[in-house]
Amino acid sequence: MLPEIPYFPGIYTVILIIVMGIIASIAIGKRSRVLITGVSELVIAIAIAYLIDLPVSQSGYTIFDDFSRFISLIFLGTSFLILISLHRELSDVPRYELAASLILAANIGMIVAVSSLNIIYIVVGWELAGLSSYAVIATRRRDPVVMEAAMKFFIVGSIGFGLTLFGISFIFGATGSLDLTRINAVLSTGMYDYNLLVTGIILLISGLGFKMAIVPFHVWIPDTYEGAPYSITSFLAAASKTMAFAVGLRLFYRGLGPVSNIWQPLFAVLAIITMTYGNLAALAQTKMKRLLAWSSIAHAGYIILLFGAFGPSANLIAGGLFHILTHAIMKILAFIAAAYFAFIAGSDLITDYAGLGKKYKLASFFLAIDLFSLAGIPPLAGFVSKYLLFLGVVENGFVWLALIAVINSAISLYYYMRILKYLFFEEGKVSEVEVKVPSIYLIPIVLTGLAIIVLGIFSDPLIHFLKSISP
Amino acid sequence: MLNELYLIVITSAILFVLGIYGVSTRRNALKMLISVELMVNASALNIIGFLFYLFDVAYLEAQIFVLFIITIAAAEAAIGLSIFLALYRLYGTPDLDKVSKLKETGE
Repeated sequence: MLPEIPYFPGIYTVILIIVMGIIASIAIGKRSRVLITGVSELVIAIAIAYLIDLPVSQSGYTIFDDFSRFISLIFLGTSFLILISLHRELSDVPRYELAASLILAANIGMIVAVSSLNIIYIVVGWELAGLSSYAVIATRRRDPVVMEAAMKFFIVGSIGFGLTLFGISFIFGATGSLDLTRINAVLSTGMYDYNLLVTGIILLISGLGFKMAIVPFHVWIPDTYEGAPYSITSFLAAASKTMAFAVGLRLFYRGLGPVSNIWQPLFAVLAIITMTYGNLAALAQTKMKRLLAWSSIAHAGYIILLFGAFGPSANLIAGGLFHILTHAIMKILAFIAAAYFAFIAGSDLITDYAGLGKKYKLASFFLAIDLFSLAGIPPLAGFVSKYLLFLGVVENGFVWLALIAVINSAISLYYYMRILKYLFFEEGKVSEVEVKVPSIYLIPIVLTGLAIIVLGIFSDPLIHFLKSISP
Repeated sequence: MLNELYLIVITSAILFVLGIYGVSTRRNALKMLISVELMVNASALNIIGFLFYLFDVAYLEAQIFVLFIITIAAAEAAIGLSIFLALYRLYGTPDLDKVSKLKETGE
């Protein structure tokens, strides 16, 4: 049992610890970059320890249950891993302390968003995370490409926020409450305005769709992911997206559960479009980061099967949450490995990876593991989570949805294997100049790679835990 | 009574659509920012309208929510302005069409 901080119940302890980290890194300022990273990592480690230790509790408007514990651990774990490579990657940015503290601030926002059942908290946390991530991309402000990525992310992020808010205002108009439990109670009685509710739900789905990267709202994803620095891209792909799915789960399962007949078909159609379009567009990509961005969109399509195949199956929720976790881990590894190889090859083109697999064995091995896992090859974690998710979809009676998802999985194998072909089986031009390899990138690569293998082979305890969670 | 509510909902819908229209057609950074603000404020107006005509005005959470929305919109404008200012310094123009180095290439 960790020492309790007086007057700070439940989740506030974790928030207070992270706030201390922000203050510390701003206070250190320009004096020592290593110290800033060290303090941030220490703060995140303490926060993770507290999160694992905290009892399930409810105080005021915040609620801390196993769902928020699981999702918050994904956020903090992601930040822990990417801060290692961020330190190396942003070595040209003079005000590194701002980047580190913005990552921490985004974590606070995400944790607040997933540990409350009140829409006010969810919206404020959501926007704190959003604003911090716009700003953290823009820390490298002398680079035109990075600033363009930040601008695009800001514009679509604000449109998404506006749509979400407008949707929420209609849902408020239909039900008269901002509390998800009360909304659920009102919807169960059937005393609500149907037209207002449908308008609200459609607007809400499109608003959330921007952050979740569902297909009609995905246009910003490849550009922003390509432009942003690699570590921040992996933060966006892993943490930011996880928050969108978690908030979606809270809103739709907890709040709008009784009217699932309205939103379930919409999400089913969106899931089909998203996974098919994402996979087909990824086939044509020549740049590693853009390919991973499209694969991220395709995976969003699998994950929104959570909503599109809504039903009583426990495997669906467990599989969906498991896939959210494995997607985060796989995307961290993929983007940081991409950063590693881009540093060596000097470009982001997949064709320039030729022959690198023989020279840089460790990183190539784990990248290969990761790509197999993304494609869903047993016994890796990506296979187990995908299998469980599709099993849940079938159990809820959506066999055709599962069929389309399996076909899509098969398509995705092609473009993942293309990277491996260049990495291992193509002869590349041997570079005369000895490149100074950023070995620090290997720490997150090895850690996430081992996690993929371990979670794949010994998945039973985690699945058992996930089946006890209700979002 | 309900007719007035319709007026408010229609007004906020018009504001919102103007915002969407502005974001998708204007290419000037500041006009885009103004359009985004319109969208956010439309939802604030909507919430207040519903609260006043349909529900109990004493439901303070909704009023506080609107205050939060206004605050968040201000914070968003601050972040947006600083991003656009940095872009202006790099490109020398507020025209966002000129800012297009990131594109879909494909094979």
